[in-house]
Amino acid sequence: MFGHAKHQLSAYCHGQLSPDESCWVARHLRECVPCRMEYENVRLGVDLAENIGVVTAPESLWSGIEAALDNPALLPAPEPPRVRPWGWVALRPAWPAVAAALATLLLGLWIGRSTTNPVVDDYAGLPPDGVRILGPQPVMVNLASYVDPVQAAPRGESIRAITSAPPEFQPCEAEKLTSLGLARVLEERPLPGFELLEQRIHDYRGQTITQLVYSSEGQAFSVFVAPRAMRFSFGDEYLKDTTVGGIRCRQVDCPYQRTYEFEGANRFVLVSKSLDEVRSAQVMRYFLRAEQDAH
Amino acid sequence: MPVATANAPELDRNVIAACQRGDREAFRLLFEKYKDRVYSTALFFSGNEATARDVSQEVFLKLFTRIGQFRGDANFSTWLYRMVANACVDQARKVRRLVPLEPEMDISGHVVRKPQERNAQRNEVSDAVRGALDKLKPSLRIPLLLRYVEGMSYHEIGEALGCTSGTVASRLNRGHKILAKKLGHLRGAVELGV
Repeated sequence: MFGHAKHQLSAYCHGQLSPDESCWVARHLRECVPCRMEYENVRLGVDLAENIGVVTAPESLWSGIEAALDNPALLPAPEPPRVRPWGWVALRPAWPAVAAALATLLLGLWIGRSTTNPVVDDYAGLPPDGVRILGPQPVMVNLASYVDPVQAAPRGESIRAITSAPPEFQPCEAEKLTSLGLARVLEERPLPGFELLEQRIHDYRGQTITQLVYSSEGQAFSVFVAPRAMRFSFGDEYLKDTTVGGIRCRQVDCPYQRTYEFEGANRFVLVSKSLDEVRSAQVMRYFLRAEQDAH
Repeated sequence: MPVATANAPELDRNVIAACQRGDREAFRLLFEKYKDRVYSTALFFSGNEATARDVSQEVFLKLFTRIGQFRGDANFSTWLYRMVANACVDQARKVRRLVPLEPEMDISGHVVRKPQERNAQRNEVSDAVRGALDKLKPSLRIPLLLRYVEGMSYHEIGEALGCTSGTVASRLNRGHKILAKKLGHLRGAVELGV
């Protein structure tokens, strides 16, 4: 293990680490003052949370349930068993009626969301990794399996997570970037000192998502480019509206990563561990200008 | 009405099988075993007794209609608490769009289950923690409740929420730090073990 122990402290308090990891954390806490101070805070939080307790359910709870059991009309309709998709395979309802009902429900939820905080916050909905067609709605891409390791990695280890490929992404030739209108990224750098390390794509139903990975010494960031009609989500992480260097975007609400979603003619996601706001804005401005020039 | 003990997995399997055959008495047994923890999770998530009652009833009714889908190859409580988590989040989404007709009820005076918790200072800590929970984002509140009310492991919480253990660890970390920041004044009470 490398770096600091800050991300392992709750797991350490709860005995959820392996014996080796636990020993490493214990040793690190003896040597590292900032992590030890962080541990004191987490430990206090754990001690406080242990007082949450359990309360007694009211006696009337069963009578309400029993009334519904005696009147089948009050029971919720049983759901068909869920088919869990693997990788980027879409969830395909077997019956058109179920598909139409699902599309209508999702359209209603989408319209009903607050316009100031368009958050994707569905615990039950999105598959862990994958693309799901939502009837007439945009194709949704869940980057959780890519972003979670970035979030969890200690700062010195994050470069490996950022430069990795999400499931189903494959390296592509330079010609493919040219055909997508991204030719200039082959010759230019969005940030001084950062070189284009990898370019990968994933084609799904005629839509192409591109991943461009840039690295410098000890740092890296990744930019995803997709048609504007596609939408990104990040597992259970919330997105908050923000402005970075004058660019309106949405930021994943997590202090352990810097992930921004922004849009021009295309939809972009910038993922880094610690790129500051000035440089993040520089990257976003570069891609927005590049697509303007291409059009 | 005898209540199934927490350490009787064999009894659980028999009870579940009986529920799958439509045995109402068996369903009552399952209800009695899990009702307090389901209700507590719903109450501390929503901060509202009426909402907690609705969510709990919804969860048990869904359990009754869907228990036939439980295959027994997964942990039953993980399966159940996935329903609890989804119901809590769905309810929170509904409430966000509604104007409350009545002020939220104060849950701080709710009866505490453990008979030994008569000490006023311990009640003060419990009340303060539950109040602070209410201020957390749902994504941080749910893992805390599944850990401390339901006693689930990180892996089980991840299974229930459809995320990795790493994400669970990250959220618990953030939740703990926020609680410590908000309730640092209770450090002395907690360290004394009251």
